[in-house]
Amino acid sequence: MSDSASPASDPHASDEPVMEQEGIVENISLDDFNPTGTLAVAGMYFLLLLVLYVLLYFVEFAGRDVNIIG
Amino acid sequence: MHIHRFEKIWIGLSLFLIACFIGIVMYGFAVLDLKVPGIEESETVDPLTLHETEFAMPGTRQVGDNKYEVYMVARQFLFMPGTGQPLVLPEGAEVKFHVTSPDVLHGLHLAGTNVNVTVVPGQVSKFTTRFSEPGEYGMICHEYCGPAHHTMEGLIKVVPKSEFDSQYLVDASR
Amino acid sequence: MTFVDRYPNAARVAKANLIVAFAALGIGGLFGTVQALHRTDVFRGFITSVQYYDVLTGHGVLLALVFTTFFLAGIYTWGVTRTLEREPENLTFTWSWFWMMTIGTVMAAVAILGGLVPGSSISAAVLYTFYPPLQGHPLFYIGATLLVVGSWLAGWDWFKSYWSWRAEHPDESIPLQTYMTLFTMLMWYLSSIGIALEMVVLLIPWSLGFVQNIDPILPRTLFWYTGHAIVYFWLLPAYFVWYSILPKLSGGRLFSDALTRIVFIFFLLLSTPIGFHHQYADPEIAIGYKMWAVVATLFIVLPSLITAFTVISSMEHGARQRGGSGYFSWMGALPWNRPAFVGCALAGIMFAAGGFSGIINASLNIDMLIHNTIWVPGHFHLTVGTAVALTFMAVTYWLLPQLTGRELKYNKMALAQPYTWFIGMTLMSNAMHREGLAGVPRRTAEPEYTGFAYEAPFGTMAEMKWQIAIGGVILFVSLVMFFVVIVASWRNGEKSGTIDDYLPPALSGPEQSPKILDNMKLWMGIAILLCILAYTLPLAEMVMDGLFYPGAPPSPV
Repeated sequence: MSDSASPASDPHASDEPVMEQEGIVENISLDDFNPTGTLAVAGMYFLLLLVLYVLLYFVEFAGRDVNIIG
Repeated sequence: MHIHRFEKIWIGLSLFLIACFIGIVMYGFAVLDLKVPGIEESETVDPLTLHETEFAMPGTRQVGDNKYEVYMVARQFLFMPGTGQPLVLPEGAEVKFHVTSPDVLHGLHLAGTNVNVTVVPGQVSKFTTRFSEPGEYGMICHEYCGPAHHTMEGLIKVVPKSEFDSQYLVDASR
Repeated sequence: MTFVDRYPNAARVAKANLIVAFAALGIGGLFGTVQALHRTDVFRGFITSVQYYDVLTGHGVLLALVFTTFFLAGIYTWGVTRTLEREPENLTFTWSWFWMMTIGTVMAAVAILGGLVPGSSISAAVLYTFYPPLQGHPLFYIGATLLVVGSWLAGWDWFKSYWSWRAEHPDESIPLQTYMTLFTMLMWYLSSIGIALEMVVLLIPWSLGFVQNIDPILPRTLFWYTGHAIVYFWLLPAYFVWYSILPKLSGGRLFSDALTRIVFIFFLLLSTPIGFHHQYADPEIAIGYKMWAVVATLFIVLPSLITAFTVISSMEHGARQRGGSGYFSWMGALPWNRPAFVGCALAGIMFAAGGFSGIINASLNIDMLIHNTIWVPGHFHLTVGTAVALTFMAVTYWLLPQLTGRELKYNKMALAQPYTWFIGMTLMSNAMHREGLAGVPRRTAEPEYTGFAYEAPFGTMAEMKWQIAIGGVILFVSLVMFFVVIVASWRNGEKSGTIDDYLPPALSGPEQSPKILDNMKLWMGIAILLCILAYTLPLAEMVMDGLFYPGAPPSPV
């Protein structure tokens, strides 16, 4: 099974592989990671979708006076 | 299986959002009467023999008190009625459209409104609408129908009830 | 030592597919710019309005059928090979599907481009949807069929590799990239039946003259049986990139392997039985089927919303590993100076916008507001046109070096390219959405009519048309930048022995994914059942009154 091709990460040698990419200053394990930033961004998107949908549906769409009524 | 608490919250929010969308659509459909074409059982018609049906005399007929029916043919590249001479209709009345085509797929969209329908050879597209105020509505064919598709247009003129008389009706007894 | 050194045969196959994909992207993209200038009346000197429809057919077919399919074949060949650690099982078979797809493409392209040659009797200005009774030259239908059948053989090739691997690894989870490949193809096998039947049973015999008149509703319904699912045939390779590569590009690791598998299962189950939502305005589909379609289509939003969370959290993991902090400022710590990352991230942002307009399209009655207006292309230029196309371009910056053994050249231009695409598409797509609300139609050479004027709900008609034209030109500039980088890198990139091809394992890996997720037979069985439930009755009704009746005569274009 091969999702990691680097000699630096042998999944059998230690609990967590160590990433040695440039720019990485610390390795964060699954247990230490809480995606609070994702929840914040996703929460904003949720509100945006709801508000835009309601506006588009009730104002732009239902607000027009010629519709198919049957 | 590990699903983080936050992702579970998000899945819950997503399902709630989807339920809201479905609810809004159903509310609009059932309560606000915002519908789509083809609610009545579909009716077929032979595109090669339209001259033997009501479509031989396209136009408006009165079928009840404040109720009218329009038989319309969409063909390459015009609407009958609608192109050349505008289709004149009375304000406030319930108008049921029957539309078909003898040749290829066409579309009928009244620009700026929610009247939007596909016209299919072999099928009769049926929908009912009401124009609450006088005005003019452009008829656009928005389903590609050939090289002059972009020239296919018409006009609906909605006039006050007092101005609408039998000159705008088809004499179906002929 | 990188992919091309370990697997030279697979690398050659992947590169061949990318070459055809990019050739299609270039021609299709050029056509798009011509269209943007023509329909806005900014410049109508390249083509006539009649030729517009030949060009539009070329644009749709080359980008949405050829570019997408060949890129998928290239990247899935790479992914399956590297995760199963084996070259293709039978190279003759592999090259045969590539050539079948390519010959089919050339045939269809000849038919379409023939329409631009004055005096030619070959043409197929039928648009990407080729609805009869509009009729193109038989070469078009036969060529497109070969492309689809070739793609089936490509999938078979990947299954063969999987079965060989499975014989040697009886208890392991399917490696994630191979999993995503196989589930994409299972979905494609089920969904492409519609278009295959349409071609083989109806359109090819009809275009050859064996049948005269044709009933449009059966081919149209079979087309849309495939036509919704096909967008996931385009999207799932982009998700493949976002799930398996984007986390590493962000400096992090995939948050959850299990949820990735679950998302692909959702797409296998739901992609096909919702095709009726493209026929909301049609008379031939009963309201009950449209109601089923709106509920099921809104449910298929769920796997994309889950994808948003899993992918963004994987990016957040990378940002925080890079030192980022806060609720929103972590995004600043992402590698916005790396071309492959930037393209994928901007593609994802645009997908969020495109998802919204798609949700509107799906919603039955509000679809009447925008059906067949230019809002619809506004929507899909965000989704296939950016989420998919820009991701494909961006990942090429990271992938190509592994296929050639050469580093990327012109990195600054590679970095500017996705930002340019984003700007161009923002301009063009927002104007398309707003023009659509005014009622401006799609698929037309000249949207100005003599008898009436549009009323723009936000902004003015003039400013919207200029945004479409300018946006279209900026997109073309971005495309040129892409080609300059790729051609230069392919031919002259510096040879290197240290090409970056490392992909870290997921944070929560396959050991934590329930085995049932790998049960392809189970999920495919349910998927088939859902399609049977959704489509048997309506298709049976259409067939029973006569396969070609009530029929209208062919209208050659």
